[in-house]
Amino acid sequence: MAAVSMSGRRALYNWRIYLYVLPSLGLILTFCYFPAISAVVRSFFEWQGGDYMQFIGWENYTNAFNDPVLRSSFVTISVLIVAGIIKMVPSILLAVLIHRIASDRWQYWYRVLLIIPMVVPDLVNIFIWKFFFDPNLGLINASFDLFGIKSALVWLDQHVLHWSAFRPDSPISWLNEPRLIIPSLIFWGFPWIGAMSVYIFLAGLQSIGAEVYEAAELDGASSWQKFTKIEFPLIMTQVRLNVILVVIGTLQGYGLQYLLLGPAGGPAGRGMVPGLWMFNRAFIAGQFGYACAIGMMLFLIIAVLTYFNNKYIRVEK
Amino acid sequence: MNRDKILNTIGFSLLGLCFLFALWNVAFRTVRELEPGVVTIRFAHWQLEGGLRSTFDILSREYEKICAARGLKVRVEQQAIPERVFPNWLVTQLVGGKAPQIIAIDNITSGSGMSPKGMTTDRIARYFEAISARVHEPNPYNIGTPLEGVPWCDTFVDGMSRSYDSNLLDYYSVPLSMYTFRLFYNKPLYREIFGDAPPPTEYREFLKACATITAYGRARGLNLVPIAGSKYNAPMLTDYFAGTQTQKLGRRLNRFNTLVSNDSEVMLAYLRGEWNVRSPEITASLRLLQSINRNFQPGFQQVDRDSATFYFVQERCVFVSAGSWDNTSLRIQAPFDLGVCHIPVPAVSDPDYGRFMYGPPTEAANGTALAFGLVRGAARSDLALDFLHYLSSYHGNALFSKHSGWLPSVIKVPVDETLEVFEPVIDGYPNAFGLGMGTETSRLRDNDYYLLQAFPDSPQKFQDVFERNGYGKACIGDLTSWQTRVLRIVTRQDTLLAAYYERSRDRKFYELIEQQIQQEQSAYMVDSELSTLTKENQWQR
Repeated sequence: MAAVSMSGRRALYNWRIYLYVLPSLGLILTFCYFPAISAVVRSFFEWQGGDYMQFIGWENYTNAFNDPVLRSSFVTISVLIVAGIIKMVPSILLAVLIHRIASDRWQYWYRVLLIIPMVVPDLVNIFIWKFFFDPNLGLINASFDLFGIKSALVWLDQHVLHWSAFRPDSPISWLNEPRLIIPSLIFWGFPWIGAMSVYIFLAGLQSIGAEVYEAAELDGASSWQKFTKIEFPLIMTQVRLNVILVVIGTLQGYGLQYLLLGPAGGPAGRGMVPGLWMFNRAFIAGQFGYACAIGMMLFLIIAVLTYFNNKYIRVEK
Repeated sequence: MNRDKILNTIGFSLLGLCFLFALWNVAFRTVRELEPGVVTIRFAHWQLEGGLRSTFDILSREYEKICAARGLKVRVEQQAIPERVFPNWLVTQLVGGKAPQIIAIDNITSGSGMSPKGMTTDRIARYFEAISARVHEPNPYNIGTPLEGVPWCDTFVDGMSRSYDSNLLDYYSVPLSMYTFRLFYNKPLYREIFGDAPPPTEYREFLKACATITAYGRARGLNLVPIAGSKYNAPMLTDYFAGTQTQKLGRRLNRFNTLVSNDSEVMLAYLRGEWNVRSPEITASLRLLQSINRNFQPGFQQVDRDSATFYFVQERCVFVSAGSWDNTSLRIQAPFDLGVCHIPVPAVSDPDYGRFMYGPPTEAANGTALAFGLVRGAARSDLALDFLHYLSSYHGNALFSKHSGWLPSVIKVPVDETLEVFEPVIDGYPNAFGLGMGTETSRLRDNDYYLLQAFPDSPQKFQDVFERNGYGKACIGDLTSWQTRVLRIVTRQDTLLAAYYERSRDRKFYELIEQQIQQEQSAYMVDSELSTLTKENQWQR
């Protein structure tokens, strides 16, 4: 149902209707806005989490700008964001494949199969992957040994990379070699099919009319051409939405890094991301005020990125 | 009925059944709790190690029987909360006012002023009840035992020193056990390799044994390594070894002659240039650490405690270092006979490492552990305290030790023969410091630790990178946080001081003043030294 416009005078006359909004408004203000505003206020204080706070103006922010760990964590997160966007490709391809299945029944079963892994909590998923990365018992090293990939990596290391990370005589320590930390964080979740993303793309694909496909077939378009000329351009809204979700999720998230590498970000702090640094400062160093300042900086970055994404990455309909 | 309808009905029925089961479960529990005349005592802890929960159940049932004999209907419930979520659970329960009457309290040792399980001085003061008035009275459950008439605090091996909060000047917890670190080994496998030879008692013997195990594994094509390690287990061994090398240096840096290494003193000494990462003592401790690291499975630093246990019980390793609290767990899980020995540190006569040591390390300062506190304002806290009296009584603690396989905390309690090896070694010399002394220094050490493994022949690379990454700056950061925190505590104590002043200027009033003076003195000493040093060297604070 379309929203009905109302004049200001009439809106004031019907003031009682606002009473219905008050309970939800109260809850939103209490649980969403109050903590956020409180964090803004506390970011200007030296606060160690207790009842004692000392006003220090912009000091937390100037410290954050000069903090080498925070700076390098933004470099790491940028790499992970780019990787996250690239990792959307398998989800798009799977959504297209499911969409093209002629049988409704099979389409249904594929969708069900995608939903089932979502029942597994993220935490469990990360722990399973942590076990996969185990140098001696893990699935990754076992499969790399089985398919001879390790030998190839050792050769690559010795002749091209010179990292000394892949050695013939010892198993690959994915989370204990600084140079392998970011590749491991990127590799996590392989083959990178996110059920939610697939569903979002499928929703977009289903809005494409059958007549568009019929016209393309009459024009002799190949499967690849259908994807590049019809499907991909027409799901750009969904792609954009997913990009925003990936950027926000990656910038805010630190659970993966925390569980795989610990609060210090692993060897050489290579897995340190802004969220983890915020957590580290608050709960390990007890610098809650400084952590609030990092949180505010993250909020501003996300807000600006979302604004630019909405304003400049337009979708041609 | 068509197929969709049948499926929908099955789904709905399953949902309904689950809901009804949950409803019944909650209702049953509520009804049990509302049973007239029955008092429920709840206690919570994070120790999920094998054998402990069943021991607490046995003790709870025993206590219920004692209460029943007195005509009291009491039910004791245990809440075992996983370690990882314990801090969050603790805060939610305390703030929400729904906490059980008794909660485990751990020591506040981390640099942030917060214990690993989420306990802070603030939380103890706000949510826990001081038991100081009771600790000097005898434990009523000790009547007819060798401890009859002895003040409660004097019945513990450490005189309840760990239960005393020096900031709040009160006793807050009751300990039930003691912790020590030991080396566990696979007895049949060890016998297969070494025959009837006893386990190593000294570092060189230990290294030799490790080399023999490696050679044995290689010769038979086995995937066998000497020690199972993880980021949880390995430091128990390596820190113990490394700490021996700073015994003499620690004493030299101990300006106040407290005979125990003090982190702030050591960090200030580093900033003054009295020692550095290349000092012979530190180089020796790093070399020692590298020599041990070589014997863990590859990549041990990235795996958790469970993986190390898995390795050990799967007979892929001969040794594993663990705490006395893991004794029963390992015995339950290991499908072989388990041996336990002391950590074989270098001898004073050792050509490389002996000259930095006074002698074997003492465990006299280990103190007591597994302490429980009383939640303030909880229902029937008198009974909860009575339960703690029972747990820490001669008979209660003996029962605890017998069934759990953990050391007792109460004096004169007979220790099972199998536990004797875990008893703290009182003779010896205190180990001094490692490189991680606060939040920043520990983070730096953890971040660069991999270099000791990547370059196993020399610690030089680690030393270069460690100093370049700003160990001095990390020391300044840790000292500043420590000093700020101490001054905050002193400020908070002013309210307490005013209250004591108004009420009665008794012993506590003067104790608190003395305490404040001591704390302020240390904080300002650190502040003054830091100011001078940062000015002289143009460092940023």
